[in-house]
Amino acid sequence: MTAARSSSARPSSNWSPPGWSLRRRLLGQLLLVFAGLAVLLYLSVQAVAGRAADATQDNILGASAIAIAEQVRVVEGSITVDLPYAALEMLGLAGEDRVFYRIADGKGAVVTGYEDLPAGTAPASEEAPLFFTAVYRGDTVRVATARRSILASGARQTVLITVAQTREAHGALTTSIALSAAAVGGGFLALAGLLAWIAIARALKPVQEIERAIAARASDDFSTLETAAPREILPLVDAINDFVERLRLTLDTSQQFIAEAAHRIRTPLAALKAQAEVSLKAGPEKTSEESLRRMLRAADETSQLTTQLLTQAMVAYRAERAERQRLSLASLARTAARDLEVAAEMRGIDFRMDLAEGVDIQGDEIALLEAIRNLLDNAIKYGPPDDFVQITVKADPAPEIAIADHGPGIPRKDRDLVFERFRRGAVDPRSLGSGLGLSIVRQVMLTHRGRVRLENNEPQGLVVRLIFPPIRETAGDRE
Amino acid sequence: MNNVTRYLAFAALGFAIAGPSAQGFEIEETRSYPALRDASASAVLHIIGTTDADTMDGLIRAYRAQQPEIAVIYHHASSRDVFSAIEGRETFNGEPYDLAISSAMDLQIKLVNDGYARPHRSVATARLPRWASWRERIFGFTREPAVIAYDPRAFEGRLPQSRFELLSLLRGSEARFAGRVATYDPKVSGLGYLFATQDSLQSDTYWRLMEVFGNLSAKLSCCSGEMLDLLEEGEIAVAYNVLGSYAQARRDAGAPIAIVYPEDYTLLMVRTALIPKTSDNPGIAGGFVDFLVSPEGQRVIAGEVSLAPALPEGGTGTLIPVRLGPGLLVFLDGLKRRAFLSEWENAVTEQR
Repeated sequence: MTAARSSSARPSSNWSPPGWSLRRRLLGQLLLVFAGLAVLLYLSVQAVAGRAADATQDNILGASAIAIAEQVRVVEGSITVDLPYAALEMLGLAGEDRVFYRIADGKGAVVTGYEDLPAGTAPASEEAPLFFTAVYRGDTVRVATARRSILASGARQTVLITVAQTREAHGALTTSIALSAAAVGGGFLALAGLLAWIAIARALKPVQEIERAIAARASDDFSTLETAAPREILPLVDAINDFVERLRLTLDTSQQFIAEAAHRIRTPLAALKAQAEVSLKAGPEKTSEESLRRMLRAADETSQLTTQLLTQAMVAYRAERAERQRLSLASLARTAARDLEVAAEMRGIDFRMDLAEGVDIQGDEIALLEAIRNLLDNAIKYGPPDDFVQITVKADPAPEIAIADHGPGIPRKDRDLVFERFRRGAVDPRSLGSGLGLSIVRQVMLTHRGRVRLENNEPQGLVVRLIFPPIRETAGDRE
Repeated sequence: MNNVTRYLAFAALGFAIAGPSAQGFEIEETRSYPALRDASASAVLHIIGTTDADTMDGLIRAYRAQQPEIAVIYHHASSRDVFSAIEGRETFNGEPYDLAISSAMDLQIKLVNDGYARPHRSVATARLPRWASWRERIFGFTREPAVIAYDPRAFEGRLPQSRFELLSLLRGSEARFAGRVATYDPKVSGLGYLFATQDSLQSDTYWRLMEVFGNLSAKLSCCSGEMLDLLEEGEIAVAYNVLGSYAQARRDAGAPIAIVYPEDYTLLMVRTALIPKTSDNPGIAGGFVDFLVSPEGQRVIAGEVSLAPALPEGGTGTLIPVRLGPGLLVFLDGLKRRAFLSEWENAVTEQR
């Protein structure tokens, strides 16, 4: 878990250069969105303006065509039209566009106007002219064609009235409206950028407050960060507090460890020194074998204690950093047993192994071997001589390795205590041991998310079970 | 004068070559102004216009003082002929006309609307008010009122100041004014037709006035100059719709003429210039347009030329400028023209 956490704490997005600005990125992305919206606004206004200008021009053209249509008469059997002045004059009010017209009878003969002006098809209704766009005399023109039915020489004739106008004013109007829209869009963009900048600055304020709070704190201040952080920032604050708490625990543990280690090492060294001084005073001929043995014993104790202290430091270090790999419990057990073969033989102790093969766990081999060796060492040390130690590996209900001896065991009330550092069971005070063994085991199992269980062996002795979580096949070596 | 004769000969030759398309188009007078300096320069500006050659003379001389390396040839023609020359893409001896000047605003508008003019933009033309230009292709450089000119000797007391007053006076004294009133013949004169049609849009009083003119056997004339001649000679007492600038020039010359800007409304005609699409020298023609509307050109127009400058603007509320715009196309419509002239004829001849 610790390993997984430390690896996920590294920034996972590699494309961000160090020191990139959240504020600038937020602003950039917001401005991009705003710019997109502004362009959308411009395009839609342009489309709407174009349609509005179309409609305006169509209305005037239609009115003009209908005004002319109303002046169509039959005089002495032939169709004639008295062109109203306003019909063409009104087309000149909105701009300076060219104007064309054409009046043709039902047979297509032009009564008056521009003969080659395209007329289009006759509209269905006399009230609603038809509109279309065409090219005439080198210019794009908007054309309105109105229809008028009239009785001429005893027959009903359809007269087509066509009025056309170039589209310069129309284009100018559309462009000017669209430009206004663009100006509004640009202003909107600038304003939005400014507001976004202010909003982002305000939103990032809690982060700055946290930064200030952390920067201002003393290096030995491990108190909880108290900020009125918003819900989105709270996880960060919690994570920081959690981290500070773990840091405090680690430091506490280290300090305790160092204090106790110093104390523990000092005692046997002092004994060794005292023994050596006594022997020195007595003179070489008075130095008994007994006092030499005591000196050796003190040196042994110091040596073992030092080894175990370093081992624990190593295990603690590895727990943070070592890569996890797939390991077989059976082969771990065999390796550990082989390492302690000599020590066991010296006490006439056999290892009896009942190892299920293929029980794999995820873990750090060196730390796990250290833990198992510690347990075997304890079993050899506390068990009666000329006995056996049972090593069992099984897969159900969880991967487990168990080491059973026939020593004095640990009374139920002491079972929590033995895991503390430098705490030993109620044992023969003459046996060697620092009291670090089980605390190392517990630490290793913690980093492997496993458990240590102590049970009584029947009829006598201790069973230590190391129970591991099963491997999650799909999840790889990280959470 | 030698030059003029030569160009007239060329003109005749040109028409002969142009063949049938040249029919119905006639140049009254051609006046040539060689370049003042660097006579070898090939740039010749051909101007065709309705303004008298004598009136244009001052303007062209002032222009040449500014552009001494450019030769100018002025062709004087009626407004119909100016229109036909440009619409028919006629040339003078193979050289196309570079500038068309006309008092017939409607015909000029039709040339622009139908695509016979090319655009011209400059600082000078940008200063023109909206009523004085259209589509950046037609530029007004004078602003001339249609006035009523009287022979004050024929009146006792106050001269009629409006159409209605004139109408009342004429109705009450038919014997005194019979044969002594004159106006444009719109069938003959393009400008007369423009004034008549614009009058008909303004008020019905015009039609009643024409009926009275008919009863008085009015003289119908081709031009302002002719009417003013008759007035000066005492032949007539009232000339209706003569160009104010022409009348003013006569008065300034000492003629016994009274000029009245009708109080009900006074039409303002704008004399316009346009550059035909066929022009070989549009740049030089544009320069001439810029000169016409420039402060210097306007000063010349107001001074020695005796036209009315377009700038500065001003005048009272009764001055109604004829709008340059597509409305002017209406009375150029064949049916409309025939109908209008027949109505006019009826009014003028009915009760005769």
